[in-house]
Amino acid sequence: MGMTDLEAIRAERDKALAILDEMIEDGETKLADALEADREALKIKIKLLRARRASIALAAAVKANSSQQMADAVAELKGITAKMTETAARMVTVTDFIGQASALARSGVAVIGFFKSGAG
Amino acid sequence: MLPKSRKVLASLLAGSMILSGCSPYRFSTEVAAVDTGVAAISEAVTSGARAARNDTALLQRLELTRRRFPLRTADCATARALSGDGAIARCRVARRGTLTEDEKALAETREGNLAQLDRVEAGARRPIAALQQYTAALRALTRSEDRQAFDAASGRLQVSLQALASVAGPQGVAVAPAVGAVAHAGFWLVGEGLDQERRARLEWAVTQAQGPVNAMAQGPLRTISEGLALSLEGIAGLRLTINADILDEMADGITPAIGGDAYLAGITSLQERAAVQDGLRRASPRLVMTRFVEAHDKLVLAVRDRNAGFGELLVAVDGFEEQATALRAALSR
Repeated sequence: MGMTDLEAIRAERDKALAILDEMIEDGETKLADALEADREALKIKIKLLRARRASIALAAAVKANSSQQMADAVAELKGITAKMTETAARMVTVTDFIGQASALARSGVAVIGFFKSGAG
Repeated sequence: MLPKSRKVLASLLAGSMILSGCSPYRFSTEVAAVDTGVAAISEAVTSGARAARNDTALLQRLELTRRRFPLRTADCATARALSGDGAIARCRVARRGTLTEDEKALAETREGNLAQLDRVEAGARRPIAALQQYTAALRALTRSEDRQAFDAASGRLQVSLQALASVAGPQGVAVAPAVGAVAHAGFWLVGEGLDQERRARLEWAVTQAQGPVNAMAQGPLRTISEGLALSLEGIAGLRLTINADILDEMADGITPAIGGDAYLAGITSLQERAAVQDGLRRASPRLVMTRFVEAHDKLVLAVRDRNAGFGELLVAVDGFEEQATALRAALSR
């Protein structure tokens, strides 16, 4: 794994983390004003996004210490992060957030899968 | 962090050495500081991973206790190997009953994160060992007092450079043959020959580790440092997210219904945990590894021309050691 590969890992990891960070912060803001009935559902969504965030950072670290080459797989990861951005844009209201957070978390799983497989 | 008195002493010592033009232990203090900083990085990985596991267990205790869920144990009866990498499933405490999709996904993600943490820690072990081997060999070289110690340190350096190149992979530069003796054997009797050989061997070693000049994409130290930065960021990232959940759980547990003493104790624990989170947020593994590469670059320059680069070396080495120590403190707290 050379510096170019490591820099590619860092760049794509950071894009995915930035999307999740934005949604986690948005969820925390929504939680402060949420109705009591929505609070528990919101809390678990936020925890799930946080856990996925950690998964992505850990998967990138595992990938960095592997001997696999990145090849053209970065393009595939860019597609996944674009989908995450699209999903995040739909999470406007509390109801949207509760409805879409799991989809965003699943996209996070695809990012993790990329780091694990090397996909190239 | 270096005490002020040590910094002043180092500066005075540096000045006197530059004026006198010679030293029986050239660069030994600076190399020792780099070695100490690398040891702090190693401890940051180990203690950071341990703290992440402890935090995960604490979070589970908080979540289960607050909601009084019925419990069960899982994967404790047999040594069941997981598919693929042969890892053994953890014996763990789990909730009994039906979980929602999100609860199930959360439990699986957290469990997966612990397994990934094991891999990150194991993956970081080899590059850290190579770095420690290298800086320890540099330290031994700069402190070698006679021919026997010098030869032993030179041998350790050669081996450590090969290890660095091996860890860095195809991008690592090949290790060139060690420079030959530069001093006549007679000079060894008065110590000057040893001083010359030590400096020449030091210059050869640090140049090999640095890699080609002005080639940021090359050189084993840069590659290894970037890989370790990603590993440390993975560990710090896990701790940050678990701690955020812990803070929420702690805050939710402090209600008007609990007694005054419990309320006060709860706030105290919450404030302490918030301070841990602040330390983690301020920690910058990449900055630490960048400082390490910078300190090493300054060492290369100073060894080539001591009078020109020694002041910058002192600043860079102090900066690296300080940052590495702070990172260890933040990750292990």
